[in-house]
Amino acid sequence: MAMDRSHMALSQVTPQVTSNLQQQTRSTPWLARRHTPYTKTPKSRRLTCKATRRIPRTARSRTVTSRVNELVGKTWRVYSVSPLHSFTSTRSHLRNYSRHLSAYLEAERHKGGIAVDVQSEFGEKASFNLMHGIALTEEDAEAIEITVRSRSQNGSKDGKIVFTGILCSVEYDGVNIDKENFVALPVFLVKGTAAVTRHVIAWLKIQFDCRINMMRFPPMELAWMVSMWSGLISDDENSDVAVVRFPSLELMYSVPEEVKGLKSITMTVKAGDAKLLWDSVHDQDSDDFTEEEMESFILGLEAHFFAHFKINLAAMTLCRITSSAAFIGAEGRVKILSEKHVHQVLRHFTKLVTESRPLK
Amino acid sequence: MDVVLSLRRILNRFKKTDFVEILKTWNFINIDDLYASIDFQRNTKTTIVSRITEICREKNIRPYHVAQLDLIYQQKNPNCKNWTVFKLSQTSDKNGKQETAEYSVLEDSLRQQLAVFFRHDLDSRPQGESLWFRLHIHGIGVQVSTSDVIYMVYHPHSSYIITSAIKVTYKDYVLQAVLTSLKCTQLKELQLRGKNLKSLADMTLYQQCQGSFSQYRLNQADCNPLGRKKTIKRKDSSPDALRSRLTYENLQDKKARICKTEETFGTSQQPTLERLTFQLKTRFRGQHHIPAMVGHHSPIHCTVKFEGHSVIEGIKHLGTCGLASLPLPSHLANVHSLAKNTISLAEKS
Repeated sequence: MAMDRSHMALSQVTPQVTSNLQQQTRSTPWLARRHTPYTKTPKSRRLTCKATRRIPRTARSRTVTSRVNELVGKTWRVYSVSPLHSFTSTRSHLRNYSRHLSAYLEAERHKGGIAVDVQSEFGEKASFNLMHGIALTEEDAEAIEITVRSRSQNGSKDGKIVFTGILCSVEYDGVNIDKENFVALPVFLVKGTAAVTRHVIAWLKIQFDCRINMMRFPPMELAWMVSMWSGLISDDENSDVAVVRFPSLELMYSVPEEVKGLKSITMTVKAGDAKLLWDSVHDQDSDDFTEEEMESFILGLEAHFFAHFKINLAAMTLCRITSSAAFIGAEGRVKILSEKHVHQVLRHFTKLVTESRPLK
Repeated sequence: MDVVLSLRRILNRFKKTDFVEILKTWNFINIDDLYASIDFQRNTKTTIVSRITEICREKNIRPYHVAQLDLIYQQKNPNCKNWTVFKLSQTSDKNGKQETAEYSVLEDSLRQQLAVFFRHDLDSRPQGESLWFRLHIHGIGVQVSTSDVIYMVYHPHSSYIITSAIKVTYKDYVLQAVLTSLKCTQLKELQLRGKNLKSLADMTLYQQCQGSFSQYRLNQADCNPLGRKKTIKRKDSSPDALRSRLTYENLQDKKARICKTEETFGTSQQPTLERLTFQLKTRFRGQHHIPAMVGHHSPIHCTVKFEGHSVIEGIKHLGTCGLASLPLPSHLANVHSLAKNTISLAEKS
C-alpha cells in the first residue's frame, strides 16, 4: 500500500518535474555548446577554390592589374575580423576614411605618453586603397589595403611605410549577413610596427563596430594545413631540378617545459618524398581532403619518426609548419611562397574565420 | 692610435665588477697606482675605461699587451663564439704524438709557418691544460675587423685543435700552417660544432669515458671510506608529509625509467650541444597508417633537428618524463660518445 502510494506520488511528480525542466531549458539564455568552446573538426575540407577562373566583374576590371603578387614572400600577421558596419568602398569614402585615420593617429600622438611611431617625428599619414585580384566570387567584397607612412621632413616626399594592412575575403560563404549595412572582409593581413598596429585596429573597431582578434592556429589546424598543401607540387614539375627549388615539408614541434634543455624538434621531408606520401594518402579524383586522410598522413610521419627515435611526437605541440604553399606559425604568422597558392591559403583562412564564429 | 682604439674596445666588453681581477691578471699596470685615481665601485664604466686607456697610453702600450688582454677576455667568456673541432693525424712511421709540449716552441714554429702566407700577429696564453692562440691576420685596410682574428685552442699531446670561425679565403692557409707546425700529415674537420668550448673539448678528448663511464673519470665511483653513514633514519614529521595522501600510481615504472636512463647517460652533467642533426635515408616506416606505401622500398629523405640550450640533457629527460619509450636507440643513447653534431642514418643493406 505504501509503495503504491509512493508510486502514484512519483508519477504525479514526474510530469510536473519534466515540464518544469523543459520550461527551464527553453528559458535559459545559455547555449548547450557553452561547455565545448572548441568548434567541431570538420569531416573534410575543400582543397581547391571553387572559382578557379576569375569572374570578370565589370569591363574596367580587365585593365586593372592584379596585385596578388604583393602578398607573396612577406611575413604577415593574421587577424580575424567580424563584418564591418556601414563600410563603403567608393573612392570618396575611402578618402574620408584615410583622412579620419590620419587625424586619429595624429590625436594619439599628441595625447602624450607613448608615441604612435617612435621613429617618426612628424606624424603619420594613412591611405585606403582598393586591392584588385584577391577577391574571387561575386559574393566577395573587393580587398582593401591600408597603408600608413611616416611623414618625412619635406612634406612632398613620402616617408617610409610603417604599416600595411590588407582586409580581404576569398569565397566567403558564412552566415548570411545583412548586405545593406554590413561588409564581410574576414581576413586581415598585417605587417607593421606594434604601436601603429594597435592604433589602427582600435580605430577600425571604433569606426566600423567590429571585433578584431589575433588568429592563432592550434596544432590541429596546422596539421590540416600541412596535410592539405603538401601535395600541391604538380606532377610535371616533379623533376629533380624542380624539387630543389620547392621548399620541403617541415614540421616543428615544441617540446614541453618539463624536458629541460631541449626546445624544439624539427622534422623536414624532401618535397618529392612528401608528394609521394600525399599521393598514397589522398584519393586522386576527389577535390576534398577528408579527416581520415589527414590523420593517416600525420600519423604516418609520426610513426616513421618513432621507428627511428622512439620519441612520441604526438605528445608534443606542433608550432610551425612549412609546406609548398606557405610557412605558417602557431602564433598567427604566415608567409605565402608563391602566387599560385595565394587564393588557396586565403580561402582557407576565410573558412576558418567563418567556422569559428558561433552560429545564430 | 689604432692600439689605443682596440684597447678601448676590449675594455668596454668587460663587466664593471670584473675590472680589478682582470687588471691583476693582466699585470701591465700596477693596480695600486690606479686606486688613487679610480674608484672602482662608484665611477661609471666609461670613466674607468677612459682613465685606464689614458694611463696605458702614457705607458706606451704595445699590440702584444692588447692581444694578451683580448685573450684574457676570451678565456673568461669562451661560450660566445662558434667553435669547430679539427682532428690531426700522423702517418704510422712517426710513432706517438708531438715531441714537445713546450708552449714557446709551439708558438714559434706556428709563427714561422704562418709567416710564409700572411703578415700576422700571433700571441698565446696558456689556460689550465690547454694553450690558446690568437691569430690576427693583417687585412688590406687599417681597420681591424673581427673576422680577421682567429682563436685556436690546442691541448698539447692530443690530436685535436678547436678553432673559432675562419674566413674562407684564409682557411686553407691557416690549416696548412697548423698542420706543418704540429708535425702532422692530415687534418680533418669533424662534424662537431658548438658554442660551449668545454663541452666540445670534453667530447673529443674524453670520448671513451662519457655516459655512465664518466663516474670513473669524475671520481664518483668509490665512496669516501671515512665518511659518516647515517644509520638512524629520522621520520619525516612535517605536517605536509603527515597529511599528504597523494601517491604516484606508477612509481615502479618511474623508478625503472630513471634507472635505465642512469645506465645509459650516467648521473653527471651531459656535455652541452646546441644542435643535433640527423640525416635519414631509410624506407618509410609508417606503413601501418598509410597502407598504400607497403610496396615502396625507395628511401625517404628526412632531416631531423633537435635544438635547445643543452640537447643531450634534453634527450636524457625525454626518457624520464615519459615522452620517449626506453630503451632509446643507440644513435640517440650514445650521442655523448659520438663526438658529432650531424649524424647520417641509412638503411642496413
